[in-house]
Amino acid sequence: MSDKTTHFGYQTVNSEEKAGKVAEVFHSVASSYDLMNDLMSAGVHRLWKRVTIEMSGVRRGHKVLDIAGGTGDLAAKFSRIVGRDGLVVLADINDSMLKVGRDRLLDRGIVNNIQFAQANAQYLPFPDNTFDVITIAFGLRNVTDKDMALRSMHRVLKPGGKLLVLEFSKPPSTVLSKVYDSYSFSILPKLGKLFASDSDSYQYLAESIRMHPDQETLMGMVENAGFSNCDYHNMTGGIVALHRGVKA
Amino acid sequence: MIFSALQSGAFEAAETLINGALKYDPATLRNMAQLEGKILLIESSLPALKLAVETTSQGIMLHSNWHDQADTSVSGSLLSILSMALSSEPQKSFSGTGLQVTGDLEFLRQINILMGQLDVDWEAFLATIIGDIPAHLMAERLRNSASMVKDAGQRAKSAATEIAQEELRVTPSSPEVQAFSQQVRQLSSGVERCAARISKSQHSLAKILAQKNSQPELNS
Repeated sequence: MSDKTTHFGYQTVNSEEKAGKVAEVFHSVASSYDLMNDLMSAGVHRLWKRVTIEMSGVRRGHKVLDIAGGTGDLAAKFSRIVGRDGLVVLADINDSMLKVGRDRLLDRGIVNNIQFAQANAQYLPFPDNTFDVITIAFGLRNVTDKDMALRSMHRVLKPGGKLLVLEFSKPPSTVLSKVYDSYSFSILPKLGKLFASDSDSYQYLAESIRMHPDQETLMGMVENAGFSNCDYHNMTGGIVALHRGVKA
Repeated sequence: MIFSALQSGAFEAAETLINGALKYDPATLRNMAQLEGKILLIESSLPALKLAVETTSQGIMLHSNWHDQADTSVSGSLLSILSMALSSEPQKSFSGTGLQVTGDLEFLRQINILMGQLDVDWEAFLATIIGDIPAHLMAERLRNSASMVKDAGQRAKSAATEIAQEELRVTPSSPEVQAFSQQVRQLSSGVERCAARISKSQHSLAKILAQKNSQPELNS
């Protein structure tokens, strides 16, 4: 075991342990993930995802990689947009989440232009210059080595291809920040206990959001991974931010 | 960006609503499949709004961030665009509508026809929410209510006409109007005949006067 450490929520853990611990969290929440997303965000997560899709500029015939695609919200929409000539790859490191996503998409008749891959974002198992667009929505904060994952995304993206990172962030307003904090640490775990019988996982969710880099830091990381034309857009007062970068 | 999120939400809702309705009109959906992949770009100048409508075999997709080519583009004020969209007749000419249309006009005409033909099976839609039997009973009741409302409307109209004509005497009855029209026509004919006779008499008088005036010259 290496001596390198990382954070798992507010805990400091060995880097090699983090993936396993995150996996436990998502195995536990997979079946109630959609319900909890709707409850926790009052449905606003759908708007955040819709904006991500609009800003991705995905068109008919494109190849799209949706990392940490979970239950397939983005992949379902991308599948309709890219049409028969395009391809969407729904990737997730967690097999429970991937199974929920795959079953859900199959139930909706989405089969022709979609593939599923259980993959670690740090070691994406695809050839160089494969995808027109890569999205990762609410997944990057759970990755052990974010810089490595961003470099891996850069490698598999085609030149001119676009990366979109949708992730919780830091609200610039101190008032909103305080309200958000009290919601995250008081109400969120209770909601988790009530609806998913799992307060610990939702406690981790709140902690992992606080430990995630803020908007500027993450943009620097995206630039360091080799992306150009990087920018970010705050949504809902900065509770969520959408970072964009283009592979030159 | 807040506006963008709100706009995206509005488009999401509109898309869900239209596609939901299309699901219960398989004939229109089948025809829409023939237009798969075509893009209609709508640009409103007042308020500034840009929207691309993509037709697919499953309905439509709305894109708010469209920078590519479109098959057909329609631009103008939102009011002009809406009046075109809500018109039950397919647009024959765009002159005087305040709209500027470029590209494939046939595609626009087809979309207009398809939307005009939209015939949603609301009973089937209700059945997915409350079940087949309650949906049928509710639809039956709604149909009966609609028929009753229509009958009541017709009866009210007839009663209002009767009161205005017979009781209040503020408007004439149909036989009265016909008799009055007949009298007006007769008067009109009489006046015309009278005018013709006067004209004829004038001519005759003019002739007699002309003859009288010419006689002393002959005698002299």
